[in-house]
Amino acid sequence: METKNSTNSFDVIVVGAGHAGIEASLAAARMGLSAAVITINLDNIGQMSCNPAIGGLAKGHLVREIDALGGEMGKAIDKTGIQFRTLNTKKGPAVRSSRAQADMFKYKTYMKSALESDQNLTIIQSMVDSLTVKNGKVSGVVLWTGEELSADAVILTTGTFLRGLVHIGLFNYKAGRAGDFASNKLSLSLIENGLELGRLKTGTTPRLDGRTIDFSELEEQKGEDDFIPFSIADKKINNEISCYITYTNKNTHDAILKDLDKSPLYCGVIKGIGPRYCPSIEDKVVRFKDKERHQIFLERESLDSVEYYPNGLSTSLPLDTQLNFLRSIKGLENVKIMRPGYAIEYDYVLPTQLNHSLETKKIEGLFLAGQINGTSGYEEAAAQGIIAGINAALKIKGEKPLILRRDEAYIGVLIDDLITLGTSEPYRMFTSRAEYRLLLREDNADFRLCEFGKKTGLLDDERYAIYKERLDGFNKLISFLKTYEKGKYYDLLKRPDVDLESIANELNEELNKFDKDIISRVELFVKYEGYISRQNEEINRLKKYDDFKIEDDMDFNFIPGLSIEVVEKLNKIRPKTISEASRISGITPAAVSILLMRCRKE
Amino acid sequence: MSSLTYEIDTICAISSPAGEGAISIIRASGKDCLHILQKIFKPYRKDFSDIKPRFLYTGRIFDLQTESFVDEAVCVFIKGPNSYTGEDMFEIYPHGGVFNTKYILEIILKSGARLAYNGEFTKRAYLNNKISLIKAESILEIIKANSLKTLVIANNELSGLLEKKIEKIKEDYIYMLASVEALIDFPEEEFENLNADFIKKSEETAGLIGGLIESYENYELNKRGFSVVIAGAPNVGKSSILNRLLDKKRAIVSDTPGTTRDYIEENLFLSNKPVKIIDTAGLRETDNKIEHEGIKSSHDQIKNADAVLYVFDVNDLSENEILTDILEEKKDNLIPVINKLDTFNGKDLSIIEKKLMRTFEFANGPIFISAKTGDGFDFMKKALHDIILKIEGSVMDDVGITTVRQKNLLVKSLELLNNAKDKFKEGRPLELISIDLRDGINVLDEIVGGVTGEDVLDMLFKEFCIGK
Ligand SMILES: Cc1cc2nc3c(=O)[nH]c(=O)nc-3n(C[C@H](O)[C@H](O)[C@H](O)COP(=O)(O)OP(=O)(O)OC[C@H]3O[C@@H](n4cnc5c(N)ncnc54)[C@H](O)[C@@H]3O)c2cc1C
Ligand SMILES: Nc1nc2c(ncn2[C@@H]2O[C@H](COP(=O)(O)OP(=O)(O)OP(=O)(O)O)[C@@H](O)[C@H]2O)c(=O)[nH]1
Ligand SMILES: [Mg+2]
Repeated sequence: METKNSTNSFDVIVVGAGHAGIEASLAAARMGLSAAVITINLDNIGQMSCNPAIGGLAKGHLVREIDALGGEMGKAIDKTGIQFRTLNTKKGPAVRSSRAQADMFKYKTYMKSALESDQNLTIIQSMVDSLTVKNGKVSGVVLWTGEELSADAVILTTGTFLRGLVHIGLFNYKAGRAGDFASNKLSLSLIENGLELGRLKTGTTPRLDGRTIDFSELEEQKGEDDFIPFSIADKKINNEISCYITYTNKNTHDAILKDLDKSPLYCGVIKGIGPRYCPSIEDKVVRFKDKERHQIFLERESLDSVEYYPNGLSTSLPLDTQLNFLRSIKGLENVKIMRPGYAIEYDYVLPTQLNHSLETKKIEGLFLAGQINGTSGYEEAAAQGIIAGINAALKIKGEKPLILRRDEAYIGVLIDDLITLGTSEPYRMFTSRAEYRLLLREDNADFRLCEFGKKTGLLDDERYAIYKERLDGFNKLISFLKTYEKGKYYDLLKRPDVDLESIANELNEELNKFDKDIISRVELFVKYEGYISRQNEEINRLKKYDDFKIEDDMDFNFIPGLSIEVVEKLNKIRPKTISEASRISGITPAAVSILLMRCRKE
Repeated sequence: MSSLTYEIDTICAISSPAGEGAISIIRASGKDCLHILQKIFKPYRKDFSDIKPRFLYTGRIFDLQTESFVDEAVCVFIKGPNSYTGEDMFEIYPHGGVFNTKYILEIILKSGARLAYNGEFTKRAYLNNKISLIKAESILEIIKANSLKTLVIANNELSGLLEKKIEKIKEDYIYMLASVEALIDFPEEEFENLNADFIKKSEETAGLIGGLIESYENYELNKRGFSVVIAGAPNVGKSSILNRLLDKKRAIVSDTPGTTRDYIEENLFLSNKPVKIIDTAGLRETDNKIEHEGIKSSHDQIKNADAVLYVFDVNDLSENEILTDILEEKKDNLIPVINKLDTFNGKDLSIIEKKLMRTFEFANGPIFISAKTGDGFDFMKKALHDIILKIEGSVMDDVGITTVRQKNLLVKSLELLNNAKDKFKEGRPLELISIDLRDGINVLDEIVGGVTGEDVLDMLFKEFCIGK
């Protein structure tokens, strides 16, 4: 393979330097290709448009998976985080998730220098207006200044920017997010090349002046110092701040209801569909009338700023209404708003038009990642970014794409959901989306994925070596427990009421040889072995349907017994295997059995 | 099932019952239907090519091998997918003879169809997504129904009432799952009353599933019919009562005590209900080996009976230890019957009634009859009918399950639900409870079909206030 390197010709061009674009461009560059990343504003690389935090339920899993593949997000947050916590400690080890508040300015700086430190990466501030496509294959992009850049693969990671429209009350303006230009032309180019777009909406909270908040009466939430860093490369983190909890009340709700007629959502000005799991405060007040209060977390955005993010108060009401209802909340009686909350509408590409590699089915060499695919969230974006970057690189190298299965990674679940189910609201990861949740834990992300990272060439030697060492320790401890005193402790540990700590005294000497982290992994493994093997059985049972391939030219229209809706769905998504077909929403088990009869086992 | 044969085969069968009738019905389904029909059916005054689906045509059946016409018949072609099986179908209504019907079937088989397996038309309807599994089962149950009750239950299943009930259970299940998932995926939210709600819901749902499981016992009971045993001392007229009920001389009657040795079982309808009626050997101490065996089996029959008619001779109400035991066991479902009313020579029947009620603790008052004249039989039947209705009482709700398959799945689902409930109460990890609930739903799904992860999220967002 010969890599290109001139000022306007590259192996891979990544459009956008948000969370998806960062991972995509780093992956391609670190895998040895010449890559360019083009973004509208170089000061906003890795900008956190909404919440100044990384991780959270199921998202913490994604971050650790990205790290195990060789991505940057975990390292970045370990170094720039200012408060770290583990959620769900009591609900079971598989759904335990890590979350960190970021110093959002430091995070951006970290990411910018990460990009700059890669010699294979060219960094360009500009706006991409269109794609160049020849014979169904992408060949480059055209900038708003008219220059043309060429590449064998293009990865679009344009986030909320495509024909972005910001709403504050009934006032609106074009922007990619507050303070950034919108990308107004690229959508048209996508449509011209045969892609189908939809429109979504999301929103964010006002940002408050911390000097005008009275924290004295509010509940404080501290970070945890024994937090396990996101990246396996990192040894420790620093907790620098606390966050604070307050609540809305009846007066808040009344202030909101009074001005509902000035909400773009309720007047029908906003057409895009918003996320149900992340409703605006006006939505919550209207839909859940009986709820007397809603919880608000006050989170500081940076050590270098007094701006606070009131988590739970996303709104697109007019500015004066925002101030009104805010001031009815305890601690915020005298608050000043620095930046208003707003909603944004934007175009997305219906993700059912993608392959599992994140390459579009229609246009060869064109990859899409991040919010452009209908997702929401930094981690979801980064997860797709790294996969698109890896697969663009593998394609250019003439190798098979990296496709993670649903039982291997949350990333696999995420991409498979997008492609087989599509999405009509911004898609966010939940642990409940993963049917093999017990297998996909944060603690074993490295065991699950480091080998993939190594094989693609993205994972660095340092992280790989750490993983190997841990795997070794894990295996040693397991076999010790299995053999020591005829496996007495192994069996003991299986009981729900026994943990390693309670038998640690008896085994002290032996256990001391092992990392705390390894010990807890082993404990979990032993405890859950029964459940895990149950899930493994199911995986094997279903795996056989992966072998039933659906011919590319199968004509669904003429299969008796399939309803019109089913045929339409099949035609649109064109599943490649029976197991893919079975996951498409609206495809009934009966329809699957009909398809099964038409397929040959490979 | 091999996939290829399914696709190619056209199946065919005689759909009317065996034996002679006015007309017979032969039915076929599969992609060769039109082709086969064209070979064997010549409509009057029309070209075959003018035949329209869903219209009836009269014509003649042609035998290709002998090149002769063999019958005159009415025929209809139904184009898939708007047919019972979802495939192309035809039906032929020939004259209802045994030979000609079979011969026409042979002709069709020779023209490229194969004989259908039992229930294969319905199976294809299911496979082609025309009906759910549960509906397919109900159709078979309707065919097998032997009483109004079983027919109603099976029909309610067909019309979707059972499915609705299971859907309701599933919805409750999804609600519980959504509760657990809400607690897992939204740890920072405040959820009021969620714990109490969960436990309440799980108990309610367990009740619903339990109810359906029980409904199977009732359906089974209905299906096999109720059994009524006629018991009593020798020579009191048990066999005579049986004969009168059946309206024929089925059992030997004689004035020698111990005439009936082996029990005699017969079926009859009692206001629409199939009832199995069993005459038994008279109960007494005996040295006779054969009679002894007979009496032993009488006891077994009584034990398994749904209702017992315990017969006395009006002129001889001797006390009876054996009766006390039986009474103990059958209680509400035992009717004392005083026979040979025609021979009564005392003054006042009410004295007899009082004496009887004083001696035994009957739950039901005695019925006076005469097997010889038939007097009192209407009252006896009415009393019997009342008992049957009472037993059926728990099936008041005519929606229930009808197959062991459904029952086994429900039992499994209930077990998983109870696991989840117990774990929840014990405070075990929610992620494990979620697995039990999911499995429980999946098992339910095997009865009807399809829950997706999206269903859970839908419920979650509908029911819980969530948002960051
Ligand atoms: C108002 C608002 C509210 C949000 N609320 C939430 C929330 O509640 N929860 C949540 O999880 N997430 C939320 N998000 C989403 C979160 O910010 C995104 O999911 C995440 O940033 C997406 O990452 P990305 O890499 O796909 O895109 P972005 O981070 O949006 O980055 C897009 C990048 O593409 C560049 N770009 C775009 N068009 C062009 C072009 N034509 N040429 C060159 N460069 C281009 C931009 O400059 C930018 O660098 C919100 C975002 C906004 C704006
Ligand atoms: N007059 C009169 N005679 C009856 C009546 N019922 C039965 N008998 C006579 O009573 C005798 C016994 O009748 P069965 O019907 O054989 O009595 P059983 O109870 O079956 O007797 P075992 O089989 O010996 O236990 C026969 O001679 C019958 O004709 C009745 O209602 N009136
Ligand atoms: Mg007799």
